[in-house]
Amino acid sequence: MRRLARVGIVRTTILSLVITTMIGVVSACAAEDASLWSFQPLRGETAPTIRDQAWPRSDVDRFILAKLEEQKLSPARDADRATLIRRASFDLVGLPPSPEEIAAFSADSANDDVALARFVDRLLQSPRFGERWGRHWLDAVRYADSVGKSWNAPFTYAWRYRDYVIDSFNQDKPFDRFVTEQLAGDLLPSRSAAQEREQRIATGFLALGSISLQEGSREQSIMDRVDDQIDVTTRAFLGLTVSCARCHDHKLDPVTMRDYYALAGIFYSTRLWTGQGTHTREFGSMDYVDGDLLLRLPDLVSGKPTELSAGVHSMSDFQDEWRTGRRDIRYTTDPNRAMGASEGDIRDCEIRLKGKPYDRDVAPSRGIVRIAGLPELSDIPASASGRLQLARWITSRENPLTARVFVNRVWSHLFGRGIVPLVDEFGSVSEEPVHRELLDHLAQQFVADGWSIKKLIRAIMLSRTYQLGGWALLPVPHGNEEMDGQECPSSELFGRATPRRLDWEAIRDSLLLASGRLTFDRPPGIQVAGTGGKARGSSTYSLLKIDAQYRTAYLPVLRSLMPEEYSTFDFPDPHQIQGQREVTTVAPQALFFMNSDFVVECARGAAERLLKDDSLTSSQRVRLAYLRLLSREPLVDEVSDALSLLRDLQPPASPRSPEQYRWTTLVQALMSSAEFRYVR
Amino acid sequence: MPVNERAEDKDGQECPSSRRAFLQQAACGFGWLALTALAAQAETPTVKGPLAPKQPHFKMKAKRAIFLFMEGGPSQLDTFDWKPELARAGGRYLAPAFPFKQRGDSGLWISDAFPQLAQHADELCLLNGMTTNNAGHQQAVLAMHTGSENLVRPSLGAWTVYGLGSMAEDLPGFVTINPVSHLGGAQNYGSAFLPATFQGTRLGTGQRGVPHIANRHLSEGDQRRQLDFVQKLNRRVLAQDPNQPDLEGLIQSYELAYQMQTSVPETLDLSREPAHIRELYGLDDSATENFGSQCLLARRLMEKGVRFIQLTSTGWDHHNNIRESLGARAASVDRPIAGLLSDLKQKGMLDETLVIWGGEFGRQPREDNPGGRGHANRGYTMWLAGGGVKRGFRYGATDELGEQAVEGKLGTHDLHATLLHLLGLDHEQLTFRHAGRDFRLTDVAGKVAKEIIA
Repeated sequence: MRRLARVGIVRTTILSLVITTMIGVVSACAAEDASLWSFQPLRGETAPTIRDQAWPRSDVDRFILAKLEEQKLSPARDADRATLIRRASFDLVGLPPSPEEIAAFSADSANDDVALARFVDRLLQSPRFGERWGRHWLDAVRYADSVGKSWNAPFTYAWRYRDYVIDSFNQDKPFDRFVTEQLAGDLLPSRSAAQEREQRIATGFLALGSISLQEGSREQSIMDRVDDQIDVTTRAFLGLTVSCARCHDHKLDPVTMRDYYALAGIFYSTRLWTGQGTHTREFGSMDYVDGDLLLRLPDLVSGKPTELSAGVHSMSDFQDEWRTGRRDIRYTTDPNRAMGASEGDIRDCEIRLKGKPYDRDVAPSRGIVRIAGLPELSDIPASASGRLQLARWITSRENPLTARVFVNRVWSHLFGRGIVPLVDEFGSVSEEPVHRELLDHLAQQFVADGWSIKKLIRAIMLSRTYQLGGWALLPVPHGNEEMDGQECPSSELFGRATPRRLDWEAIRDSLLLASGRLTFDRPPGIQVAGTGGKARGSSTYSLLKIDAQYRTAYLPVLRSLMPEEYSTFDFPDPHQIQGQREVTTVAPQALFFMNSDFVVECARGAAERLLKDDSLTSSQRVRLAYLRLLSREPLVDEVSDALSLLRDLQPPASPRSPEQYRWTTLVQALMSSAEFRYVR
Repeated sequence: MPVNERAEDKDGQECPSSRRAFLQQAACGFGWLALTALAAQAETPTVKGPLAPKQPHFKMKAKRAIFLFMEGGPSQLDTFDWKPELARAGGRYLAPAFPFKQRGDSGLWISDAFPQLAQHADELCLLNGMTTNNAGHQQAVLAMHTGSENLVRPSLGAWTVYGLGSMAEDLPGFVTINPVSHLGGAQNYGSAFLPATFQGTRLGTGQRGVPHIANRHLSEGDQRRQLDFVQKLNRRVLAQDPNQPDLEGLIQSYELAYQMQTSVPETLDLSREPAHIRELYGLDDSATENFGSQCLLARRLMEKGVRFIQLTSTGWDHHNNIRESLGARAASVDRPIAGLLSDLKQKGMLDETLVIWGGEFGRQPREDNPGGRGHANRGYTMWLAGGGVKRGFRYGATDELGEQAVEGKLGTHDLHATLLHLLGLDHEQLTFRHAGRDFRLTDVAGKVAKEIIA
């Protein structure tokens, strides 16, 4: 049994112990100054020499091939174009390619590289790109439209931050800028009211934490918010879990309580505007939803803050309306309000012994964070919280974690697995990955390219590695007849593609798209209602149900109140920071496809679209259905199977037409298939 | 393949069914190479679908397991670990909140927090020397369920079903009822790198049940025709690329889902249970209804052949006012658990069922917030009953104030090794090759507590 955590042992010994035990090697050796691989400076890795010079198309491929060659393995053969366009389309925009796109791509006479580059470049410019990649980011920052915990009241303005994230990905905002705006956008200069609004909205990042609105102790409540901000900042940007050091020195990572409270001082000096009040012993009760507790944005026209517009903005307003007998009460969307942060009372934060809010010790100076291996945070002016300095520290070229962590997140979304497998964990539980040189190469390139996320994604997608086929396309290994599926490390080494199950958003959006009902508009303003309540018993609700026509990224995310389908398809618990989703394959997912009203309605819509054109034969309709749903032409016997199914079905006597029943049933079958649910 | 052609075999040992026949046709020999070793070891003549019952490594004491998980870390010092010194200590120490008495012929000390369960003292095997590495909820919950605090590893239930297969025809082999969605969430019943088919299926009690269980759109015949079409499409993909455990899991998930449409409503429908059974489990009392329903549902699942079942009772993190808070939680599970033990006994099922009770850790003897206790990972209590464990037995002990385990210590890996042993599995042989090495539930540790085996 591993028994690692005894504070006071030489730290490096613990670290090396962890690493060695984790790879299952019992070893007593502990290098004196073994610092974590992830804390070491980025190395300017040059691509290794390889034997097969003809295979690689980019440096990414050279790193991949070198490791395969070391193991005497060859990469799989390339995926065919139909597979590739579907994969690329889901990866970039979370939707399948249209039959027209498929036709154009397969007919493109240019070579595969050029054709793919054309396609990728086009989708990178699509507004759908930000909806896909923005949502990935929202997972990593515990985005939600309600606070969760004890009194689950809605966040009325979280969506402004969500839209900001989506827009930022669409604009290809440099990642260092993106980080800085989220931490300290209110402290950056701006040239226009629009820019100031955008930057202030970005700080909504800090205000989205799940905390108890009924925490009786004010100081506890403040420290909980501070802790949430430390947690999201260190995990989302740095892949470090610093928040354990709230109560004791970190047991595994080189983070002390002193570091924690030096960071805490920054957020202790920050005021959050969540639109929610708390109940505390000291201050009595406030409205759980309160329009006066929101950030004021400058008006786009006048450039000045405005008074709250007339309407429903708080729990009291809501209750007043309720008393008049109204039931469908909506919050009024004020054009100049948002969630976010501003500078608060500037002060250092005393160490709290064992994390107890009133057990105070000395206060370390704000920002004096001394994490071994990482650069030092610069001095913070007496008049500033230090958020801006923190952001500069996180995005400095000397901080090796930020670029590594983000590059790894991108890689994991494109391959189903990170180069570092636990994408939120770059602390001591993180083993040095096999492809550390590749990670460093990409991270360096990312920084050199001005932290451009789109360039990073493009570079990875245009590598030959991204374009590999699956298992069946592996060449027969030489001299290794005993090798079976479980032992071939090739997928671990990214030597072949692994089929990936679509996530919930892609499944729901694709179903809606096929039905012809998907809209690409954004839902206007506030789409949550209610005033909260105990966790699941909360009166908070979403105005947009699962059958709404909007993309899933735009549906409210209510903590503890998500529709069952979300967890069935592994949508992360929005209390948590979770940069990587689990992938399960369970019977309730099958039941969703077989029996849910939503799937049947989408199938019906898709069937109607097929039936609308009278000039098509049944075979042509089958072909179109395959193209729309599975992104490929059906084989000859697949067409005849489909026609047999249509023929054999026994429509019940009902007002609906038998034709529609038959085609709905066929379409639903295609929607249920593994090919629909996976990208290969 | 209509559902009612399936053979009704209650103990489900060898029973060629439509589903199984289907699985053999669909999955046989494709991706289950890792299982062939296990199958060969067990002298099974042919490779079968992954959920077919498999021979254990040695004779099993229990053929199924039920884990009653008390999320939050119930206090042992106020329930199952009698510390007379603690009652006298005073100062920063918090005396036990409930009086303890010796119970049954065995004379085990159990407090008044569990009056009904105490009547089954002679069935219990108390493990007073439990330890776990980490006193954080998430880490300890994950360790309890997967053996690892921070890495994604298959869960105990998944390993069990991987090792033994399932006896259930039309239900998943591993079911978890009302699991918590935080503290690791689905990882706690996940299969990690094991094939997806071994992961736990989540069931809800009452109205929540399984969503979309009812087919309201197609006739049964048409749904079967539709499903056959889907599966043909799926098998075509599998045939192109046979090494896809995910896809095999998906194919099976459809067959299972098809059967569950009938079996789940039947199993979940507690309304047809006779009044004395409802009473036995406390279904008609609002305090015990929730956990009572879980327990009764569990018994019904066990009868259907489900191999591993987990129930969850939340809210055992009693930093304040143990007397009231723990008292209420204990009252909500006491009758249901006692009812479950009685019911299993009267049905002759207790001997072959391993009942496991406990939280992720226990609580400290010192007072935390007023009247409450902080987390204790260096000495706490779980208990076992049924399948092959000594009855009315106490194993392990904490020091006189209950600060830490001093004898009969059982760490997480030891516990897992022991549980697998009782289920007929050798924790060192139950391995899965992944990323170039053989993984075990117990990593590189784990010692079976032979002393507790009957």
